[in-house]
Amino acid sequence: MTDASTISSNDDQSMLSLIDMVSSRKINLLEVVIGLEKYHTDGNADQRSKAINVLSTIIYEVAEIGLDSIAICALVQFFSK
Amino acid sequence: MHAILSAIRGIYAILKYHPQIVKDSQQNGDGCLSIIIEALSPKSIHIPAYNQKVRMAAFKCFELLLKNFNEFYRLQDEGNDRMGVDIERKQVNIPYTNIISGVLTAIESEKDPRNLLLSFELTRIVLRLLGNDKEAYQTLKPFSEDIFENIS
Repeated sequence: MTDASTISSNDDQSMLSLIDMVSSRKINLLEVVIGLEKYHTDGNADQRSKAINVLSTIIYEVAEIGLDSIAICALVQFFSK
Repeated sequence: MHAILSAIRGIYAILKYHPQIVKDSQQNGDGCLSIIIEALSPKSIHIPAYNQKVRMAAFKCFELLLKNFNEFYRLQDEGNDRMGVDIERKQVNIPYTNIISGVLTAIESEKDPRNLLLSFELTRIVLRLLGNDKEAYQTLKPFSEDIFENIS
């Protein structure tokens, strides 16, 4: 599960491991979205920026990832804020 | 600024790689497409104020929106004709004016040669979509001056 430590240590390595986890389906993307949501709503500008960057990179890097409608809606809401 | 670019790229990736899910979501009333168009509208973001990369990413989103999601757009006066008859359809469909105003505002005063190529393409798509029949042309008419400004 994505937690505060994953995001706050948002260096290249943790980003790559998060992408790996999503692409190998060890973690559900919806969980990542929910995990990042609080950084977007409660965090400062830097945390919001990081949260958006993480999700954007995952979506871009893992194009073949199977997403359901709920995850897409959550992502769209997230990016549209 | 960096977050805006990432957010628009995220939207672009969703539109490019998962168009069917966006369509299904719009069809079943979740309104993903409406949310995306709203997010890119002049009310939410003034795209010309951002740097070249952000503008380019937004133009690419508009290109996908205009090319791949036509079945969800309707002419402006179509809603009045159907008022009270087809409420569900009105929720699913989006007025052409919403996306056209977004496109034309985004490409106004564009100077960068890389973006200009895409802005001309967007104008061409809009004209092809709405310039063919008389009813559609009425929707386009209020924007004719903006279109002329953009391509002149």
